[in-house]
Parts: sequence; C-alpha cells; structure tokens
Amino acid sequence: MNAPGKTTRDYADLARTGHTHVSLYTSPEVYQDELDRIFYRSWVYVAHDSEIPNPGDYKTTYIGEVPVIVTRDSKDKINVMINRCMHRGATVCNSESGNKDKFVCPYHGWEFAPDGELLNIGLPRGYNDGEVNQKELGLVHAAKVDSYRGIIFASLYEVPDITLDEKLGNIKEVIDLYMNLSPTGKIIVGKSGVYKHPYEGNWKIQTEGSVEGYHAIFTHVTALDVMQRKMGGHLKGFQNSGLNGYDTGHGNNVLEIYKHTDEVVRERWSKEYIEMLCDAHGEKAAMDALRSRFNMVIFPNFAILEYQFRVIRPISPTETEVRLYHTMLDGVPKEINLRRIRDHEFFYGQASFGGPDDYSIFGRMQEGYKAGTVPWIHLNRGIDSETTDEKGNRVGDLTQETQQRAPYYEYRRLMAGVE
Amino acid sequence: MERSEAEDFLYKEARLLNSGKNREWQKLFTEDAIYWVPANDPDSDPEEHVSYIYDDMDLLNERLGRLESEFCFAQQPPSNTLHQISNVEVENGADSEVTLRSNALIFEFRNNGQQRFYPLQTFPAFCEHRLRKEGDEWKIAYKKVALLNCDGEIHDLTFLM
Repeated sequence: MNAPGKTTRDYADLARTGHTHVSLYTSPEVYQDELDRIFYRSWVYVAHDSEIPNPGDYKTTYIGEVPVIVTRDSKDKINVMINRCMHRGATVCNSESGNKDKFVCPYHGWEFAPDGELLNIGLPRGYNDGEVNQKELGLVHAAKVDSYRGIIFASLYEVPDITLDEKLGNIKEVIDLYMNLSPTGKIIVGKSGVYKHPYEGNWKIQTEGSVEGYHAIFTHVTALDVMQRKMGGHLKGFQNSGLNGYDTGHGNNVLEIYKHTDEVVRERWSKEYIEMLCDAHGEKAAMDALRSRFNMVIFPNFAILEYQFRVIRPISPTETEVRLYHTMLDGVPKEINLRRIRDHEFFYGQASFGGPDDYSIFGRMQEGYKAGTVPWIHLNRGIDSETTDEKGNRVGDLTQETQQRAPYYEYRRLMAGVE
Repeated sequence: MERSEAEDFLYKEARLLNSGKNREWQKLFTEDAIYWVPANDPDSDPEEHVSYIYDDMDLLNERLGRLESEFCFAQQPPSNTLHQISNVEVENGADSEVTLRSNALIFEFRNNGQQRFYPLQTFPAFCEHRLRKEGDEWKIAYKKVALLNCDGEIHDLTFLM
C-alpha cells in the first residue's frame, strides 16, 4: 500500500519485530503519520449493531481525531459519516447516542437525513441558481463500511487494500466463541455501562497492554489474591502452561487466559445455562465457548476482553481515551448477566481492583519514554521459540510477547509499505 | 433525627476518611450494608448496569486490604482527600431508620510523585446515607455516592468516597 505523504522516517526500522523505537510513542510527526496511514486508511472499529438497533438510531464516536456519526437509516443500512456540516463545518450532532429523523445544524439550519442526504438548507432563496448543489452536499461517508457478527468497522478516507474478511482472518473464530456465550449468538454492547477512561500515554500502550500475558502476577497482586480466595476453583488453569498468545495476522492477536476442562465448566456454570448453549450451538461449540477466556485485539483500536468491548481513541501522542463498553448476553438467565456485571466491576473500572493499576503504569511508561537516549522498547520475549501453527498463526507461550509483536507487522505494512 | 445530629454523623464520617482512618470508617457500616458509586447514570439499576463500586461489606473489606497492601500501584503515592459536606437533609423513617441526603465536595491530591504537577482533583457528589439504629448507635446500612461527573471521563477513583 502506498503510504500517503512524505516522511524522512524509516518506519520499518523504527518498528522492528521485537523492538519498537520510543519515538513511536512520543513524536507528534509519527502520531500524525499514524492517523493518516492507519486510522484514516484502514479498518477501524466504530460500533456494534446493538448500539443502533432501530431505524433513526445513531451514536457519535471518533475515527482517529475525526468526529463521526454512525446511523441506521430508514432502509436499515448502517452509515458512517463525518460529523461535519457541509456548509461551515460545525458538528451536526452533539450527543453520544439517540434517535433522530434528521440532523439539523444549529448554525444555519442545514438538515441532513440519517443516510447523510442534505434535505434542506436554511433560507434557500438567498442562494442564486448554481451556488449550492444540494445533491453534492450530503454528509461525507466513510470510504468503506463492513461488519462481522454485528461488529462494525469503517475505513474513513480510502477503501482499504484488504477486505474486512481478509483483515479479520483467523480471529473470526475467536469472535464466534465470544458470541456463542449467548444462545441467540447476540450480545448487547454498552447498554449496561461504559467506563470512559483517559490515560496519560500513547495509544499503542493500551493496544499492547490489552493482551499483556506477562504482567498479571506482578501488577495484579491484589486482584489475583482476592480472586484466588473468593473465586477459587474458577481460576484453575490460570497461568498454567499450555496457554498461548497468537498473532492471527494483519495486526490482530489473541491472548488465552484460560481453557477450562469440561469438569471446571460444569463447576462454574449452571446446568441450565450449559444446556441452553448446547441446545443452541451443539455441545462442542457450546463447551468451547464456555471453556475459553481470551483477550483479543483487532488492530488498531479495538479489543474484546471477557465482559467488554474496549475501544482505544488516540487524542495526542501522549494522551489516549479508552472506553470499556460492558457487554450483556442476549437470551440468558438474569444471574449470568448479573455475574458479568459484578465481575467486570471487580477488575476493570476506575475504582476496581485491576484496571487502575494498569493505567497508572501506562502513565509511568510514558514518563520513562521521555528518555530519548534510551530508545528501544523490548517486545522480544520468546521470539526465538515462536512457532507457526497449522492455521498460519504465530504462536508463543502466554507470558511471551508474540501477541504484542503482532501489531507491528501490520504497522510496518501500513506505515512503510513493507510486507 | 435532627439535622444537627445528622451533620455530626456525616462530619465524623468525613473526618475518618480525611484522616485515613479507613478501618474506623468501616466500623460505621452495618454488616449487610452496601457502598455504591454508580457509573454513567446515578439512577441506574445496579443489577442491570455496571457501577464504579458496588461493595458488600466483604468486598469493602478486601478493598481496604488492597489499599493497605504495598501492591496497589494506582495508589502510589496515595491519595489524600478532603470531604466537605453540605446541603444536609433528613428524612425520618421508622424509629430505627433514617435517610440522609447531602452534597459532598471531595478534593483529592497526591503528594510527591515522580511526576510533578499532579492536578488537585475535585469530585462533587450527591450522597445518600440510609442509617439504621443498632443498639444506641446509628450505622450506615447503605451509602450511595453519585458523582456529578459519573458519566464523564475519569482517570482514577481508587480512593474512598
């Protein structure tokens, strides 16, 4: 892929396999190149179907720094559009979500339909013939939108050089496992809560940190202590050998947290719930979903962890906002979702026993990165014993850094045109 | 309960929090109490929506243990807080129960980190205490702290509120 713009930086050398250069986390020029070449020209997560279930539903979000509206129009089509009036540039929608039959710019009354069409302009008689072409002044759509299992991705300025199907590749089967925890295969994203979590560090620290298999026993001493005592049996297998990290291609990656035996699955979940899933998906698919816990990253801005969709939004080279959208399962007994709520609270929120320790360390990493004379970040753990499985995934032990190296293959491809 | 007695109770609770006497603060609660800090929507149903904190007394005990340990990295350096209480209203229920509504301005600051210029944080909150008489003492059976910015971007809430 041709990288737009000129640069004097050799990104293939700065984003080495196993070592990343500190300037990738600090430089405003690098940050701008990342926006231009990754966030604005490749597949980026924007929303989940369940956030906009009905015609007229919308949510606002960001692709990189660009404000966008994601709508479901009257024909049930999903639209991803830049939230910018075509006249003078104000955002046409200023709330996080809702339902509207049109977006009206408050500056001069230009009205846009949920599919972006410019319906009306304020005081039209002031324009002479030919001064304004309504057909050409609809909201600007993302170049490409596609979805998998209700997870909506968009590429803002250009059609990506790979389809979404190619982008997701082997990670689709991990998404399927996640959705199969519901008997209907459906989840509800964010309705049950969103933690809006800024931190003082580069966005890639969270991309890497969402699949960090090495840190837990050091960073999360207090959380693991409580989990062992209060949830005992459920942690069988945690940190055991046999769990892996995977690079599934195109920057995407998976960290296995546990893979329970049938026996532990039956201890952990009610008979009713297990039978419900077996009836819906067949026993093998049901048990595979129930035994698996993983963290997965879809590069650059999206992760799924046990109870959450995690969306990473770059704000500046050294500031990031992470939104943790809690997910509920459709069609399950209330106690299953209640447990998802309590367990999520325990580990992930700003007052929880886990996440705040990570975010404080992210800030400390960014502080350390000010030492430009110590230029390299080490992500080479286990690199020499990494293997490739029959599906083509790179594989390492969960505490090694295969999954954190994964983004930088795609990073080099998009930033430097190096395969 | 008269307002002056309610104020005395809430001021005492604030003094314990402000002076780091977490275990004495813990003793103010009944055994079956709930300590709740809602997220996103102060009127959300905590069984349908995630909260920042929804502690029974077992989990609150673990929370205090975490704060006392040397491994709560989010509290290095630890927070100091100033809880300023105002707008106290008393709603008397049955003999042994009373609901207090108050506003709290919670200031939070951390001294002497490696990173300078830690911003003094302010967390305004609508508080609700449901008190129950146990023996001749009022105890907290329910404490809700609804942050004014509970749906906003927040860095850290690992201190006590």
